[in-house]
Amino acid sequence: MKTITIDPITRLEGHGKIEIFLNEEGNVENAYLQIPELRGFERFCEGRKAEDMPIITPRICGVCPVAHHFAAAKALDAAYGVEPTETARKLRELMYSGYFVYDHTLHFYFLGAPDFVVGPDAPPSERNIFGVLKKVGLDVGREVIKHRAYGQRITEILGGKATHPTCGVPGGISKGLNEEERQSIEDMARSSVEFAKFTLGIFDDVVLSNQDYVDLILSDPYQLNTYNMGMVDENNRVNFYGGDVRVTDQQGKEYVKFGEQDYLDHVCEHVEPWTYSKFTYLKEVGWNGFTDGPDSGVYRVGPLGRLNAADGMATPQADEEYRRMFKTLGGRPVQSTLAFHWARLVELLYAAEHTLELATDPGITGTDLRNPVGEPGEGVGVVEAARGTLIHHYKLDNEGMVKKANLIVATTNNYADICMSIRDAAKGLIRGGNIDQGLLNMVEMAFRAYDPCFGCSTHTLPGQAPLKVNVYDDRKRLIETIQRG
Amino acid sequence: MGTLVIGVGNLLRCDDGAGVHVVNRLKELAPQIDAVDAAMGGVEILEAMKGYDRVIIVDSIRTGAKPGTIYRVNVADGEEPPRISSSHGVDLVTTLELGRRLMHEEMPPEQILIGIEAEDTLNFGVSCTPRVEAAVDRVVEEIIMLVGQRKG
Repeated sequence: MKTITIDPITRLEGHGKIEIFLNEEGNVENAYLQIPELRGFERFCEGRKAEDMPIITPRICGVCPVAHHFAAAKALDAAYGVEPTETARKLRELMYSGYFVYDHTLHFYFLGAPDFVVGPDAPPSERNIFGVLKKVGLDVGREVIKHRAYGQRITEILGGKATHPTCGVPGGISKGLNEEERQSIEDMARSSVEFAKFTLGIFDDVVLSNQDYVDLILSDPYQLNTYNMGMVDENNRVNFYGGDVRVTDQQGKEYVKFGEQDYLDHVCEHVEPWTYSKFTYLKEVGWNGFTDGPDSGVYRVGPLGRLNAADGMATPQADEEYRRMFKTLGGRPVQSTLAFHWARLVELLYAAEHTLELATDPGITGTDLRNPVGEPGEGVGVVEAARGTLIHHYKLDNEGMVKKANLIVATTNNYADICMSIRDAAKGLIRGGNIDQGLLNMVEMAFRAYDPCFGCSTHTLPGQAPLKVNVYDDRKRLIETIQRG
Repeated sequence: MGTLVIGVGNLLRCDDGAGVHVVNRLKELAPQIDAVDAAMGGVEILEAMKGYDRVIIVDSIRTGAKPGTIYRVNVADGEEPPRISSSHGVDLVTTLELGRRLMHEEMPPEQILIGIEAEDTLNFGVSCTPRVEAAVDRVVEEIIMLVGQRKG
């Protein structure tokens, strides 16, 4: 068997490495993304004060600090048996929506757009943000930077610090919003709604008006017929911060819906010897290896998973975009991996609209910020991180110290899907042992759609990460190396 | 408008946090110096840099040299920055290049990168390894001297 290894080398050691296994005919048998994940973060948490968790966990990596912050705060709410006050819940959601605006903006312009705006066949040296700006103009670049900064400023106003917020406490939030701050968030939110619509316009112009791209999105190698998971509100519309976790099947019908405290009844973790990261699957369906379909418990999370798992968006303009996406791509569920990019922009508009909704809510400047906590116990907090469902589960001792912590991050939920998507993308490009030079691009596109965070770690910039492909024969002897970077 | 010091890195990942340790130390020893913990770096540092005459960015790097080795690169002088590929979204070189292309007039004319060679960035820990710790102290002293010479 031949082994092909694609090894993105990043600043920190030990990040994702792609291995492609060929059969005797020289065709792709299987592909795995190795994640030598951060080991022992849960152990690092044990013995620490419960209230430190919302402060420590955002620093696991720093890419989605607000998601970890509120997953931790919600787990503490549950562990102390307390509900946040109405104002606190709104403020948390406001900050959370602002985080989605800046996270999704970054992914589209810096990570997703290079593949489409510049083109999947463009040389790596052009498939980057500078290539995008060359096509769409420098003014758009300034808008991107500006709206990223808006998102950060919203976090700073509400969270105390731009990158690592400190406001979430069990039972509420430590800081309220005054009228001046509210007005400034309202202004930034209005601008973000327009910017989200503008960005969807770029997607229309560049991607949807190009039949080749639409065909690529709908092509077989990028289809994966899995279950889908995401949080929904009481009307089954997408919600990032709270509600129930809903799973839909391959026909788009509800398979199960459960409250966050019950995740262990529905989600299981599978272990493979070649990676530190685990694979999650639906307990009742079972682990059936790296396969899709109704008999495989593998599910997808993240923008596409969420839109597939919901019946709509809770804001008017995003809901319109939601319907347009499903109509254009053949109805719900859409199982095309590359549709993650479109789904992400529908969510960007929702996040901006929801930020505006909350910033203009008369109750947002309320002063009921915190409810008194009960006795320490056990609790689960679930939120939708930008890249998918994120679960924090703590057991506290009676002094309020962390006895046990379990974290399931978004990329773990998508891990089996990512491996399968890489395998399927590689299949079309390796035949009879011949490797098409477009392999790296197409494989990169397959995993970048998920916006993976390896062990809460690396984002690989298109065309920028040094890539290495090692080809081994069936006795694992190195016979070829393709390198970039 | 003087000098801004930006520390990049993850405080929980041993030596990866060296840049942030520099910033925290500066806040204690020289509170008159503007210093920010930018954690993951990213394009947001451009906003923070706006209007300053000089920015000093401190980050941990790995080149295979002896841990604690300090690298200094003056970007404005056209020196080639070390190839730092970031795990935090957008790398430093890309970020500074974006600043140059998109908001040239507002960017500090002088941009200094200080890289501290890390030893351990994989394990969890809130302090640096001894050789990197010593380098953090040297960088702190160096920045205080440098900024002092020019009053802010």
